[in-house]
Amino acid sequence: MKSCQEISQLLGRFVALELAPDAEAEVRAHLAACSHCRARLDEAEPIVGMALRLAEVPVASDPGFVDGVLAGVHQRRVEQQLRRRFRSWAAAAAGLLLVVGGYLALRSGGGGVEPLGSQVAASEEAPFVEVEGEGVTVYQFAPASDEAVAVAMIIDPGLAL
Amino acid sequence: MGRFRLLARAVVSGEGRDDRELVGASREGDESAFAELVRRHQAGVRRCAARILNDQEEARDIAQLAFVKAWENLARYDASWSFSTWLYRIATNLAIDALRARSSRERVHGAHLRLVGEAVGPTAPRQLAEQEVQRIFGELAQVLTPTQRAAFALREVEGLSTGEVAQVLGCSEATVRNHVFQARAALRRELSARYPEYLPRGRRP
Repeated sequence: MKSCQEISQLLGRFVALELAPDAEAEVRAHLAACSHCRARLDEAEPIVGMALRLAEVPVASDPGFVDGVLAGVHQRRVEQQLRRRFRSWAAAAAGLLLVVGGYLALRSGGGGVEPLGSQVAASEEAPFVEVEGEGVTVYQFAPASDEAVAVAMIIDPGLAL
Repeated sequence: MGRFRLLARAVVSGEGRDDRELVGASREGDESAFAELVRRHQAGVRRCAARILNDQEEARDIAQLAFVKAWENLARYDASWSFSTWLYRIATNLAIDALRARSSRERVHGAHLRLVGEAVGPTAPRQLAEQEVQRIFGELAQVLTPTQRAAFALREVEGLSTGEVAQVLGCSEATVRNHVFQARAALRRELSARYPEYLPRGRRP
């Protein structure tokens, strides 16, 4: 523990930010406890004295802070899971569109896909498929006038937010 | 309630471990270890954000966001840094961004905030009380740039070393010193203009 005289000899270098971290910590600890040396510092550099007072202001207790952070972490986890699922669904949807498109191209003799009519109906069967380890239910919709045209929708019944 | 009880037990169990052990456990998905890191470092991060933003509520939001971002990026944490320095870096960047966004909004709306200081009264130097020092610093710090505020808060208030502040701000130690000295000079000018009673007699205008 340094004396006030030793601390006062270090004050100039403390203000000039020239002390090694250990020596600075010792000066700070002394200044926190010694009003005499604090007054000397205020005289030499009042702004540094103000900073030390700011450091001494206690941080108000905030019992909900940790739970708030954990709630944010949980939210990010759900968002990450959703992003992963979306990528799987997008891959599944792209695969199904290729299959449907190829089927329609074959049915129409290579003449392309007809535009979807305004009246559509869901197929009775809703097959369950698994793509990239993700189980999904596929619903197909088709216009009554032309069953060769279909739109597939993939809905995960287990999705819960 | 179950989660809170679990959290309470976890906090107790994390007390004996150092930051690196807790970071390692958090990376493995140990939420209680991360909760202990939050509990351990929240005061410094909140205080630093508050000094930069001069707004307790916004500082709380930024501090919480900083911890969430830290959790998201634990895999990228470089163990050659101290965990607290890394946290300060995340929180400081968020606070500086928030401060810049606020300044931009104020410019757009033409709202130039300039608080008027109390009337100069006593001739004897006054001691700054805890709450008063926060209020006065908040007023004076409006003249600082976001980076000067951050450098002053980290180096002078939080007591980080110049090297640590350089890591946090991503600049050289010489630049940190420049920021701190410029911040001091600007604060001294404002203190002299607004609150000369807090200056030593020989330094009053």
